[in-house]
Formats: sequence, C-alpha cells, structure tokens
Amino acid sequence: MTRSLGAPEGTARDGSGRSPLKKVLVRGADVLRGHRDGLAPAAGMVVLGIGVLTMPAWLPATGFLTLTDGVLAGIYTLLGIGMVLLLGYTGQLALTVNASYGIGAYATAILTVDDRIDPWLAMLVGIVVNIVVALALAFPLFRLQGHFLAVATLGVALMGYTVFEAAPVTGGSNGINGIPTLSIGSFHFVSDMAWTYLVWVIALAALLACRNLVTSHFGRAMLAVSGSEAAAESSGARPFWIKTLVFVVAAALSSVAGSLYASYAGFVSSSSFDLTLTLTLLVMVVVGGLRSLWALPFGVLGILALSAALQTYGPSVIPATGSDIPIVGYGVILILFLLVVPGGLASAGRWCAGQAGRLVARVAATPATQPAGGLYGTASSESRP
Amino acid sequence: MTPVFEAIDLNKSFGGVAALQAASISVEHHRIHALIGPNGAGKTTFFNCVSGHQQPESGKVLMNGVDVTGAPPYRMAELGMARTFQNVELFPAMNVLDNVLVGDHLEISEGPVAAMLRLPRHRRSERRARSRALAALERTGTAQLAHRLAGELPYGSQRLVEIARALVGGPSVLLLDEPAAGLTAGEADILRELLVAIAAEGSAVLLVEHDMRTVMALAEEITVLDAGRVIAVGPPGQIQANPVVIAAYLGVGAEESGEVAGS
Amino acid sequence: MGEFVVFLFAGLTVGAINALTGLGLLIIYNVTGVINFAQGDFVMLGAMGTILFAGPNGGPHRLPLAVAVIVTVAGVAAIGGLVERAVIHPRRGKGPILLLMITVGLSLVIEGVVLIVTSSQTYGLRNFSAGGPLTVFGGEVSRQSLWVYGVTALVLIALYLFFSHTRSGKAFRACEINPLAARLVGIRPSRYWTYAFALAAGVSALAGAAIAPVTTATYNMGLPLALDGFVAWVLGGLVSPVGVVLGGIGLGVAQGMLDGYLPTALLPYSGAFPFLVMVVVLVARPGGLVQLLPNRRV
Ligand SMILES: Nc1ncnc2c1ncn2[C@@H]1O[C@H](COP(=O)(O)OP(=O)(O)O)[C@@H](O)[C@H]1O
Ligand SMILES: [Mg+2]
Repeated sequence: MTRSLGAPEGTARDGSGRSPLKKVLVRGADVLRGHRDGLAPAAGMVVLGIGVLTMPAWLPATGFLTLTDGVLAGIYTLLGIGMVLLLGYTGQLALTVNASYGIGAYATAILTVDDRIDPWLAMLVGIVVNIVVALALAFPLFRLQGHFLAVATLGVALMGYTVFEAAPVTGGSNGINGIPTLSIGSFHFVSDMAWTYLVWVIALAALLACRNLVTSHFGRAMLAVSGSEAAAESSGARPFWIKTLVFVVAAALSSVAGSLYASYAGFVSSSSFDLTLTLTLLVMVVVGGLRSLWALPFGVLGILALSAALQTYGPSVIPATGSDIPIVGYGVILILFLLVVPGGLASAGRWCAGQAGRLVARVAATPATQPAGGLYGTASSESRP
Repeated sequence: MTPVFEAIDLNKSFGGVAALQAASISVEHHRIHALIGPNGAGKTTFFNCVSGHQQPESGKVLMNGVDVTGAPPYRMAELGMARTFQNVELFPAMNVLDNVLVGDHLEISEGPVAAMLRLPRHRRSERRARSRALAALERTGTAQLAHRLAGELPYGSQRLVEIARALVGGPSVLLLDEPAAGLTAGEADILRELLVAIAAEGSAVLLVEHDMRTVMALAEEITVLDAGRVIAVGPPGQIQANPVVIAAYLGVGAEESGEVAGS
Repeated sequence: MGEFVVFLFAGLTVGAINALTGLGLLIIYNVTGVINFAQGDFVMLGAMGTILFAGPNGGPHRLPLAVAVIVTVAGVAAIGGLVERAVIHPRRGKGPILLLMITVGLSLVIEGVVLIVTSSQTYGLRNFSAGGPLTVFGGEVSRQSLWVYGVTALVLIALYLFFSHTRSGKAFRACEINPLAARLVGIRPSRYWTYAFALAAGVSALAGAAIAPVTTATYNMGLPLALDGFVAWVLGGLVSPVGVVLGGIGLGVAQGMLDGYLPTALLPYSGAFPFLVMVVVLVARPGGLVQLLPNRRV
C-alpha cells in the first residue's frame, strides 16, 4: 500500500473535472514520476512476474543463456537481497554471504544425501543454524564500524571457506554427490522449468516481504543508521539491533538459497562458496542499485547474461583465457557503475520514467483548456531521488 | 515538585581540556531553560553527556528523579528525551517525512515479522505515525517539504525538520542545540512560537542559543556556562545584570545580538 | 633443529612478503583513509612486469634483471598514481565504503587485463643470484629468500628515512596528521592521495619482483597476498610501519610453524589461522581502532 501521503502538491488531484483521457494522462505522469509509491512496486512485481513466467521462452532465445541461468538468477536474487539490505539500506559492508550460503547448502547436502531427513526439514535446519551463527557473530562484529567491519567479515568469510574446504564432513573440493531433489507431495522438482518457478516463487516472496520491511519503521531505522548513528540512536532506534536484525535476515535468506542450490544441483563442493561468489554478488547488487530491491533481479540477470555472453563469445575474441574470462567484465562494470551510475539500473530506470512522466504531463497540460503554467511548471520544479 | 530532568556535577575532559567542570542543571515541566555561554564553554559537550552520546567522567544524570547516568542514547529516548544537534544530523538520503518518522520509531511497536507481512495492526500504526509526523512538520512550517530529500534542503529548513523529528514523539525533555542558527527571520519567528507552545503543553525545553533576543524573550531560567563551569543561574533579568556574566559573556553577546537585529 | 630452521626461513619469507604488502596498505590508509583491496594486484603487477621485461623462465633472457626491476617498479608506481587519479580521486569524500568498493573493481580490472595479456598462464623468473641454497644454523635457506629479506629491510629503512628526514616525506605525514593545517602551510593533501597510491604501488611492485622467483606469477595471485597483507597491517596496529613489518613477519613465522608442526588432522585448517588472528585483533581492540577513525563530533 504505502498510500503516498498525498502526492506532493501540484499533482494528480487537480486533474479532476477534466476529460477522462486527461485524467488518465495525469495519473500516468504521476506514476512515472514516482509520486505514487503504491503503484510503482506493484508494476515492478507484475513486470517481474511476467518476466519469470516467460523465462522458458526468452532465456534460451538469447542464444547464450539457458534455464539453468534462470534458476541461478533466482538463487542469486535471494543472496543479493541480504546485501541490498545490509549495504544499501543499513550502510554495512558485511561480506559473510558465502559462509551463510555454504551453511545452508551443506545442511541440505549432509542431511539429505542418504535420504536421512526430508529436504524441506533440512532447509529449516540450515536456517536455524544460520540464525544462531549470525547472532553469535553479530555481537563481536558489529562493534566495528565502516570498512573495518568489511575487513573483519572478510576474515570470517575466509575462515568459513577454509572450514568448508577442510572439514571431512563437507568432502572439501571433491564435494558431496547425489543430493536428492525437492518434492511437494508426489511432485518431484526435476525439470529446469519446475525449478525456475519454484526458486522464483520463493525469491519474489522474499523480495515482497523485504520490501515491506524496508518501507516500515525498520527500513527507516536502517536508513537512519546508515545516515547518522548518533541521530538514529537519539530517536530511539538501536543501531546494534537494527544491524543484527538485518544480518540475521540476510543469513536466513542466504541459507534458503544454499539449500535450494544443493537440492537443485545435486552436488556441492567448496569452490561454490569462495570469495568469487561474494564479489560477483557485489557487482550484481551495484548494477541493480544498492537501494533497490525491485531492480536487484535485473542486476542479477544482467551480470549472468554478461558472464554467459563472455564465456560463449569471449574465447573467439580473446583466445586462451578459459573460464575465468567474466572477471574482465566484472571489474569494468563495477567501476563504471560506481562512478557513473551509483544508483544502478534502478536510478537509471527512475530517471527515464521521470523524463517520460514529464513528457506525459506536458502533453496533458498543453491543450487550450489548461491554464498556462499548470502541471508543467510544477513538474520542472519537482525533485525526486 | 521533582524536576523532570537534572544533571549534577558533570565532569568531562578531552585530553587536557576540561570541557565540563562540576556542571549542573535542573529543568522542570512547562519550562524553557536556556543554557548559554561563549563558544567552547562546553554546552554541546553537556548535551552529549546527558543524552548518552558521550560518557561523563563523574556526576549524575537523573530523569524524573531516577539515576540514568551513562545510559545509551536510545535509552534516554525511551525515557522521553529528544534532542537536535548543533551540526544538524538529518538522514540525507531519506525524504523529510521519513526523517521525521524516524523520530517516532518508538511509537511503532510491531516486530519485524508483522512489518514483513504488512499485518493490519502494523499498517494502522504506520498510518497513525504518518499523521503525527505530518502534524509535526506542520508545526515547524515545513509540511510542504514532506517529499523532498532531506539532504537537498536549505540549512534553515533542515534545522526545522530536525526539530520536527525531535518533537514528533512527544518528548518530556527536549534539548535543542543552537536551533535558531541559520534560520531566516520568518523561520526564527515560527521557532519561537513553537517553543512557547511546546513548553505550554508540558515538555521541558533546554535551549542552547547564541541569539540573546531569543533567549531573553523565551527563557524563564538561564544557566551560564563558561570554560565548563556554571557561573550563574537565574531568571533573565538577574542574568543580564550579573557582573560576572557580563564580564564573561554578555559583552560579546550584546554585540552579536545587535548584529542580528541590524541584519 | 634443522627442520625448525627450515620452517623458520620459510615463515620469514612469507612474512616479509606480508610485511611489504601491509606497508603498501598502510601508506595508502594513513594518507587517504582508503583500504586498498587491489594492493595484492600491485604485487602481482610487479612480479609479472619483471618477468615480462627480464624474460620468463624457459625462454630467452631479455633485459638484465636490475633494469627489468627498475622499469617495472617505476611503471607500476605510475599505474598506481594514474588509477588513483582516474577512479579514486573523483569520489573522494564519498565515504570509505564506496572507495573500498571501487578498489575491489580496480582489483578485478587489473586481474582481467593481466588475464587477457598472459592467458592465465603461470610464469617463473630466474633467481636474482645464481647458486644453491646456503646452510645457516643447520637449515637451508635459498639465496632468493635472502634477497626477499634484504628488500624488506631496505624498503623499511628507505621509508623511515623518507618520512622522517625529507621535506616531502614530512609533508606526507602532515597530511595524515592534519589535512587542514597541511593546507594552511601550502601542502595540498589531495595531491598526496595520488603520491600515496604511487608510492604504495611501487613498494608492492618491488616486493612482487623479489618474490617472483620463489612463488612464480599468475594473474590471480594478488588476492591471497592482499588478504595476508590485511592481516599484517591489522596486527601491526594500522599506523606504524615497524608494527606492520613485525606483524607481517610474526604472522609468516607463526604460519610456517603451524604448517610444520600441526598434526595432520588439523593441517587443512591452518589456512584459517591468519584470519582468525585478524578478526580477534580487530574485535578485541575496537576502542583502539575506533580512535583511529576520523573522530566525528556531534
Ligand atoms: N570530541 C572532542 N574532542 C576533543 N575536544 C573536544 C571534543 N568535543 C569538544 N571538545 C572541546 O571541549 C570544549 C567544549 O566544546 P563544546 O562543548 O563544543 O563547546 P560549545 O558547544 O559551548 O561551543 C572545547 O574546548 C572543545 O574544543
Ligand atoms: Mg556547541
């Protein structure tokens, strides 16, 4: 909902008493310019829903993407949500995502490989373990500020990776094979299409829930913590608890992503949980927009597409670079976005929509029936993030 | 009547600089109490020590007679204290309405799950908070800015928005650190009326301010700080006539307020 | 005893490399407040560049080693200064986290470029001086290891002399201590951001040249080096060059002993040791570290 408490002055309402077409135009202009926060996310949800539903058609049509990328995109989206919440909203660069992802994946792998317990139950176990670990880590880690948190969490992440590599129970780089797939009743998720839909239903639900979270008082407290801890605190928000809450939510979502990955791939090994994953996610999140949950899937798919395209066409252009070639693109993209489009695709999209909205508003305002100055005048004095 | 807020013999030093030396103050409901003193006297440090942003080395802070020395800022907020900052600490990436809503954080009690699921009771809390926030903006004369980004506002508007954020939760003690600095004459008028109204509703207002006109017009009680020490306490008339204060401060202050009046 | 000495020398070699990377991190951090994720990639560039100019093992020699090292160090220092101008400078003042992320991108770009140039191959480099290992205290130490120790000592002494006995070195320190005062006496702190990156890149490149014969070089060798450099830097207390060198060497020796004496069952975990130490140090002394953060008054 978020009934945008009245659009800012000079918008929609003065459209009353005009022709229906004009009303529609004025409304449309408001939506495009972002004055009706209620509608933009709904539109985002619809676009994403349609995009996901039609994945089996358009992913293979690209020539270098497959439905596997569709499944992976859903998994990366689940992982990226945590990074958006932590880094984008709360301002905390915590880099433990590979560890929580790994814990989820290994929980499922270890507990289900001999059909010991139901995979859904294993997923739950992974979430619980992850939440406990996140709480235990939050106490020491969130005593640190700024980039020292990044360095310390990087240390934790690498310790996690070492354990995944070394512990006998994980099988290290040889991994664990033969993990059963998920099923609901008698339906077993086997085809990539079924998996795409399953993963994306979960990812979209998580996006929606987290979007509700960030538009609530928690989301405002998160942004407050990243803006000024002193002021957040004297308003009654506890920075430590807010950070811990977000850290725990991120760990739980990563855990689900890890469990899904293990069940989908049927095989996990330590190499899936190294620093490359964290860096890839960072690029995806920056491309989507650090403060945008809705744009995250676009960042994820964009980077997956870039990576796949480079793997497919790269070797013919730059020979003998092997499967490492995507990093060539990642660095350039990351720097370009950070320097030129720090708000990511989300801000680019918002800007385009805003321009379109202005245009529509002008069309709605120009005919002779409209007094001069009208909407166009307010539109240009308008300011949005 | 117990004072709603009391600080007794606070000491604080930075390296060799003694920023506060046995500084005390006591404020009551319905009252505007001014804390004045030349630059570097320790006024901001005093605020930080009572709001929990810094720890006093010794001394006591009491809220409603209860010892809360050393409590963190969020605890002081829970106990009914709100404050603004000398260098305006808004959240630049949020819009003005959301900034003010942060000040109402404690009034929304629902947990994260209720927020994620958008439960009806959470929606109702949010709606109520929104109308309170709009009302607070209205009172500071900044309602028309509700949807602007806080970081984009002119300095004076930022100060008013910060005051709206501090008063939205209905604090029993409101600390304002130089609220009139950078305001236009019109904005300063709004501020003065607002402070009188807030005190009339029952809050205790503790005001750090350099503009002597404002201080003398509003405050019923004035505490003068110099080099970390309280050198005088009393009603405005008494303070203005106090030779110690005049020596330490008012000479400068009179010039300053003259400039303000002239400009 | 002989075994112990071998572990000790192995640890010292690793430790010296840690120390040199850590020194690069320290130089940049002290002047700019930026944590440079790409520091290890400067080491990699130093190793790769020297190999490129001197000719890789198994191929014909090109330039004399000394010339190759000088050309490489100068080149990498120039690259360091240039990238600072190009991607760090435009975002000064936008907060340490953004700048850290930019250096992450920088690291990926450097690796990517080297990947394209070298096609992900591993290259070796001839030893700086010919001859077999020397025997010291009953253990063997390679001549190249001695070169690594020597370079570390040399860099530390040179930095010390530079910072405390030259005008520009003092200007550097003025920037880190008080940018405003520095500006008042006519030093432009912003320029020193560029110098700091260049100096740090040069120091790291020298380290890379010295270790190339021991470690060989691949395009992605930088990240692990940077991580150990972080640990050395944190252990050394973030601001003291001597501390960083001691931290790096202590870490390297401890790691060498662990690798040597840890029971086989625990050996696979020994890689986590430096990070454990780093996290414990960071978390156990937040008071000490917080004071190093720009003191933000409210
Ligand atoms: N965080 C700090 N570190 C060091 N010295 C400080 C700090 N905060 C305040 N001071 C010193 O304490 C004294 C009082 O400062 P302050 O409380 O800001 O005075 P006022 O608000 O009355 O102008 C000054 O001498 C100031 O330099
Ligand atoms: Mg002050």
